[in-house]
Amino acid sequence: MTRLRELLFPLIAVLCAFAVGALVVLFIGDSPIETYRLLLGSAFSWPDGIGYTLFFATPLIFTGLAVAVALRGGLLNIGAEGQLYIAAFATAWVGITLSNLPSALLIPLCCLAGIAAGAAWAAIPGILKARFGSHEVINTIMLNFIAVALVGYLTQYHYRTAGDPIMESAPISAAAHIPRLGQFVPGLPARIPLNAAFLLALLSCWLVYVLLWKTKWGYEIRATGQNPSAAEYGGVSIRKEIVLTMAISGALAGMVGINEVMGYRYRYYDGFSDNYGFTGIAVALLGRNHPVGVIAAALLFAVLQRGGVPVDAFTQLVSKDIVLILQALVILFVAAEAMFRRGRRGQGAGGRI
Amino acid sequence: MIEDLSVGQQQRVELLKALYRKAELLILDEPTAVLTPQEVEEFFAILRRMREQSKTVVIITHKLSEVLAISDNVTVMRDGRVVGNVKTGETDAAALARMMVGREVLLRVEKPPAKPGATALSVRGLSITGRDGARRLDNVSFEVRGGEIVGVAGVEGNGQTELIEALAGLLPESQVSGSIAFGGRDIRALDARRRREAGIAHVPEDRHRRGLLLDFSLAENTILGVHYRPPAVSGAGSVLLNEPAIRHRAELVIREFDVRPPNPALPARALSGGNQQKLIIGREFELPPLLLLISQPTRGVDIGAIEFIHRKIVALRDSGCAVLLVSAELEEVTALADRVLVLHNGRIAGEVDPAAVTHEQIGLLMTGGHA
Repeated sequence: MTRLRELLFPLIAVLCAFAVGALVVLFIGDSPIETYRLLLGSAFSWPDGIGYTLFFATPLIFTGLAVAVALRGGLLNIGAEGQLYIAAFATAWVGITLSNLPSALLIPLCCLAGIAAGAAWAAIPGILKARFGSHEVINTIMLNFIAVALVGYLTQYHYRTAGDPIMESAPISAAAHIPRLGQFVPGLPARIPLNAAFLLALLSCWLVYVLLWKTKWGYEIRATGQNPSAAEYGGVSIRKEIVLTMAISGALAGMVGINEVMGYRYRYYDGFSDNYGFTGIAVALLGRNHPVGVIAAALLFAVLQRGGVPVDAFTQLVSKDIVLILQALVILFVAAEAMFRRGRRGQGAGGRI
Repeated sequence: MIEDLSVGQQQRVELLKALYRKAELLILDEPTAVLTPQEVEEFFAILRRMREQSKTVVIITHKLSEVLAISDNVTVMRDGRVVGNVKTGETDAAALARMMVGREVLLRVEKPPAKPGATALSVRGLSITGRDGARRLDNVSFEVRGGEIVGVAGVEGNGQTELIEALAGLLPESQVSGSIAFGGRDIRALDARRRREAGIAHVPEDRHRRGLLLDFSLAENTILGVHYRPPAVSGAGSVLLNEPAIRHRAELVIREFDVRPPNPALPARALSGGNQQKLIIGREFELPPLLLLISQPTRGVDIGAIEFIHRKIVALRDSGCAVLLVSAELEEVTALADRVLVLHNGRIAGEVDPAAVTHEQIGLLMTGGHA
């Protein structure tokens, strides 16, 4: 019953968003049905629609998970964007620097470099909070700027191929490439960048689920997020949990680099992130901070992202900005619902005392 | 500033405000919780004067003695419904308790004499400084033996909270000075987890803030504090939660401590205050403890559950456990404890034998006078 309700509320939020979105389309002067047909229909065509939708969903699953884990631990990680940039660069750096290594070594090393870099970058605001009590929201936001500037500098002045007009690093070793799913799935052309990182994303969802709900570590993370005083009473070190939770969150965000660098562009491309870190917050909220919800929410946002292009091209008046409007509306309704629930819960608790 | 006053003084300011505004109807919700017995008497005298001036006073309280002492009419509520309306002169405590619970209630705690054993807890020169630099506890020394209940009486905010938190290992070491020995060994350096491992159970004064994870299930709440070691975990490295074992423990606690409704999957939030408290007490009793630190065991708990909790505490004592009991309810302390320490302003103002002392004498110590 509660499970069902958990599912129902996000669904209502999405439906409400689409309803209001339809009004917007009507107001602009186009047909909502036609617009939504273009928006959603293109995402489900085979192979391009589905292939690209899953490819777009991959980074959102990672960042959505990152934000969800942090929120379960009582922390708001707004810094996934910075963490994934640092991590992607670290992945590329290993792929460029250790180019002599064979695939069997280089691929795990590149992955680990990204995971570790993301974890380390996220651990900074964790340590600052644990040690000095400074708020993680402020520090993760500020570290985003530092991360973007840092990798931009490194790309521009140290790792760019001479004469390359684009802000991108030299290519990584071919041994660090991970396979595209087109190599295994019949009918899926290899030009579609959907790659093994998507499977890693699904695996991560399962791992996060097991971590949070099936292990003592997850118990401590959730206990700290739910009630730090009670967790402390239960013998949990709050400071340790803050750093640990941020590091896990950053590690998950860092895996975006695997998709981007090892499975798609095969180099570090500056400014590659389409606000994945920030969209991850919406994905986590819509997905109720649950791995399964994160997958569903990431798919929805990927569908919207994919569907924006045909809307732009084939409608009279509506531009692809309708995607932004819909995303904003979804977040708005999710937030409104959260407020509604909090209000009700407060009353319920008060009434029972 | 008003925040510099003690809670008791703040209470009086609040009353004064109402009186000064010439209130005709005064509604008081648990007004005596932070007052000493003498203060309660003075306070009741004021209320009686108001009645003589034909004002109306509605007083909401869970203390039967106060109801009988001050009221003319009593309305008894249970589960949000009025279950009875009687004249105070025509009823007594037992009848009121019966109405409140719906069955016969034992108002007196049945307690055989204590058989104190070896010293379990020995506190020497314990002082606690708050974050703001103020002294919360000042050079306190006492012992608790196995098989006895030592009660701590005092107006709230006189160092009881800090004392228990320091003993449970929840205060930073820098705030605590003096020695705390448990079973003969110094435990100052042990954190909350290690102290629980040593056999110290803790029922905190505020169950919502400290004692429970309200959104966690009853089952998950019954392993708080022991969640990291077998039987709560199993397998390689003791990492994976052992769900059958956790469920088993939850069912045990629920059965032994009569937690209702008996569904381990419910969130703790869904329980009434009394059942939440029984869940916490059950969890801590299952440790099983050598020393129990128990603070306000029956605050906000219905009278039927109070009787139950009191019996459990006495039974734990009789099994040889040392119990340090803090309560703002003087009646609770004197009924349960074998010895009573009175705290005033962070110091032990005196130690009394609860069987041989009157509430007035304790009340005098609570305000810094001499018994």
